[in-house]
Amino acid sequence: MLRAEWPTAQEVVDLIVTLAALHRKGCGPSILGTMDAERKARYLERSDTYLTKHGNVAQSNKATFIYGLPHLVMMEDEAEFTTRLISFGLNEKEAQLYLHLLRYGPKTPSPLAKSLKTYREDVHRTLTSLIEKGMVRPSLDSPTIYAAVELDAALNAAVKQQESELLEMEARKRELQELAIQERFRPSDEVTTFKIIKSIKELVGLSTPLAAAAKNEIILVTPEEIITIASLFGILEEVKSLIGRGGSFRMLTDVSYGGIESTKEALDIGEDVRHLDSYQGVYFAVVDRKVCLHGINMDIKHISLSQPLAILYADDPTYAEYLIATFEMLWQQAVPAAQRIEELQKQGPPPA
Amino acid sequence: MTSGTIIESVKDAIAVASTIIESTEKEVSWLVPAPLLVFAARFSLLEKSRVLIQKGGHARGITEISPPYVEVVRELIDIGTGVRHVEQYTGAFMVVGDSRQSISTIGVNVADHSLDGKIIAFWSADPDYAAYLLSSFDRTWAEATDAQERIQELGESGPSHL
Repeated sequence: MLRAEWPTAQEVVDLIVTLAALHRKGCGPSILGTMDAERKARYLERSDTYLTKHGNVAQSNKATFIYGLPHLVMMEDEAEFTTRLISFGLNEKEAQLYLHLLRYGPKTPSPLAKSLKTYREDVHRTLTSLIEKGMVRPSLDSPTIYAAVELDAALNAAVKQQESELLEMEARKRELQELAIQERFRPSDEVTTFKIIKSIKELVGLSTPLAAAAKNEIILVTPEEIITIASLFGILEEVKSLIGRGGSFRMLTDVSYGGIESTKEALDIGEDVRHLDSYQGVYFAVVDRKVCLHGINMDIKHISLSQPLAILYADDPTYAEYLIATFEMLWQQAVPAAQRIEELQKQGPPPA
Repeated sequence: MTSGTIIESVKDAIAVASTIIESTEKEVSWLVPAPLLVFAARFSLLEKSRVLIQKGGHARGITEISPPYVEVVRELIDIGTGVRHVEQYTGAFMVVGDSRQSISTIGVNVADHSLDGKIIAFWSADPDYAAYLLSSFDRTWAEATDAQERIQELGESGPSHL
């Protein structure tokens, strides 16, 4: 079992910190010598570690984790190494790129992108992040060549960053706790309503008067199926009326070939519609920056009034603000529906 | 419904999650992307969960377990957290403590898993809102796979994964 063979991520961090400190002092003694008796026993028991003849700690079984000289951390397997780097605060891409540079030497972004089977822009982003973490160094030449910083220096940098992040996190936590005491969780002055909508029938029954009562604005993120429902049950008429009164209606959805007609219908009445590639079954709507409908994991299999749902209804301005902020972020990522329709029509219907 | 606070960074979200776990007495439930579990481990949230469990509380969590995150999931299991695996989850991510305090975010928000990433999340102490989140959590929990089973599957697909 892996658990029996490997020290935990925290133990690795502890060891690296100890090693770095010793290294700075110019020492290279046994790691075990720096541990108290209990910790030493636990470490030996868990990781089957032993002292080498040079006084360094190594792991005997399968050579999966060899801890030798302070600057030497070797792992037999690339995936394991990547996992270790992730525990040092790198994401998967950063870990893979760093390992690649370490293994194959300095490179420019293009061959890196080719080797890692990704885009050049992606490599650039990851390199920038690794430079910020002190794990990669760019050359001053043109084109820029990127080199991995020596492993112990890189891990030291990672540990230092984690230490400063820990301090920062503690400070943030204190600030947030203060905020909680001072500002948050006080009941709002006005009475707000909260309930769960449990079927499409209930949703339609609520949405029609909501759209009719809207004064300025409706925003909506919805699966295509809901557009069809809105059209079938007259909600589109209410939206048309809102737009006619000078209000605005913005909608994000996943426009597919089968949904072209209903999307066109929405565009025809003046709705501002965008297609979201990363759409993942999200549903929420905000009316006049106050009334909210929010469904988690919408899975509409059939368009029927009895279709069960779980949608939160709230007339809470802060919750509305949260949904609006999310909407605006997604809106920036989306493309106009007309452009999407044009692309779909060029591609033709999907194979049956 | 009482008001809440909008959280706009991954760091703040972790700090809030830490506060929630710290103040939980009975049960904490979480559904988070696996990369955030690594941050949770780094910022002692696992230790806080361990303390909760030692005091007789419960912790259960859902995530998508892939090879780089097997180890952190094992740590969670070791401290007594019930963990399940879900494939390509697309709903809300959340941490809920004692059916009252919660932090949640709409799934499509969490594309950037770096510590300096932006996120839009909602921190609330409303029990009704927590109940709503938990109803979704329970549905996902019921459909999810036991973490040990998933880890075994990953092991079978190649030793290098473990």
